[in-house]
Amino acid sequence: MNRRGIALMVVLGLLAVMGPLVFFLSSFGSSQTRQAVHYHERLSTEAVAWSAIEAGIANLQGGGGAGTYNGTIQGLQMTYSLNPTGMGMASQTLYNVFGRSTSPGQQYAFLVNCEQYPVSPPTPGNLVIPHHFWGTLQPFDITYAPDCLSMENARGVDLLALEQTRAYELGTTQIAYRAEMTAKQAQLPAELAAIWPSVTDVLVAQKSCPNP
Amino acid sequence: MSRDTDRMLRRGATFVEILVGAAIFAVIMGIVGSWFFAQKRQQEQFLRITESQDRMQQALWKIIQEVKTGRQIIWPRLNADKSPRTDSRMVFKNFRGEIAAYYYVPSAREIRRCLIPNGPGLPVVDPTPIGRGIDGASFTVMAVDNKLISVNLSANRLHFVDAVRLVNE
Repeated sequence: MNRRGIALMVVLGLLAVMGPLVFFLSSFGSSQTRQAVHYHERLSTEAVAWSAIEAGIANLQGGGGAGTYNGTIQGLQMTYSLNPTGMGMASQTLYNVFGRSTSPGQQYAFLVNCEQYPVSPPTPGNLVIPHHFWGTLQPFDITYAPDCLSMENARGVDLLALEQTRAYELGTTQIAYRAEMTAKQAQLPAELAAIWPSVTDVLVAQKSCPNP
Repeated sequence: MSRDTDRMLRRGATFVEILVGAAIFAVIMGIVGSWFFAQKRQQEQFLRITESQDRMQQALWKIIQEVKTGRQIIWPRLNADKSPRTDSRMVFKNFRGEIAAYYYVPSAREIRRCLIPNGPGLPVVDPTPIGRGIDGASFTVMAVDNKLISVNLSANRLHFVDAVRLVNE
């Protein structure tokens, strides 16, 4: 066997070993793996955004006021912003609290209304009542006033839907409400139709201002 | 190089030499091949697990995203003795006050979502399932205020459990 033959055998041997190895390693970078990482990041981003909101509420409980605060949690950037919107009837200060977390390719933002009741004499534990937690994946910049306004408007659409629902409940008698809900059973998937009478009972019991 | 060695190289390979060479090559390929297929089996199993995790994470994320900002769990309800209750269906009022339902369809191994207007209007089932390839799903209500629920999904012998508190009134 001459040198050319030996070289050929070495090359063939390397190919026989390296081929499967390269194929095997390249599969680890497949789309499924990347997708799993993508959703892991999404979950982490949402969790950190939620932590940002909780940090904002804790800040108000500790007597904090308007401002924008930054930090990192588990390597993810988080920001929360306390935006005063006025005074309530019980002299409480009203705030819109925005929380946001960003990671490469992901963003999550929350918005909640808060009422801060100052305690007299001042102590670290102010009473803070939060209302209407709302979240979005839209890339709002919560440090930019027009984006904050857009976020409030987007949430306002959902709040209007809630108002309509409550107005319907208030304006309907229990009997009419039950009839409306019961009529939906025929259009429901089998899995839900089976429990719908029980669900209707709960809905009727919880109806706003239960009229006879 | 001596003249004898040079002659030996030029005469070519005998049948026995080729047989020995082929045998060595076959042994090496056998070792490499068995390693390759063992690794590939492991990798396929790993991918199946990753896909299951991925499917469940996606489904769980979609469910929790809506439930978290919801208002009230309607179904399941606590048992009469106030003990937790589990069901394969969950019905609650979402942020907008609509009645949202997530339910497991065993025959299709899917989790689906149905939105039911809290007033006039027809129920609408989402055209695409929330989760596919799910072996089981259960929802357990755990608090007397009907605002704490745990979601348990299983697929490919893996279980994902998360608990959510509905934060809105």
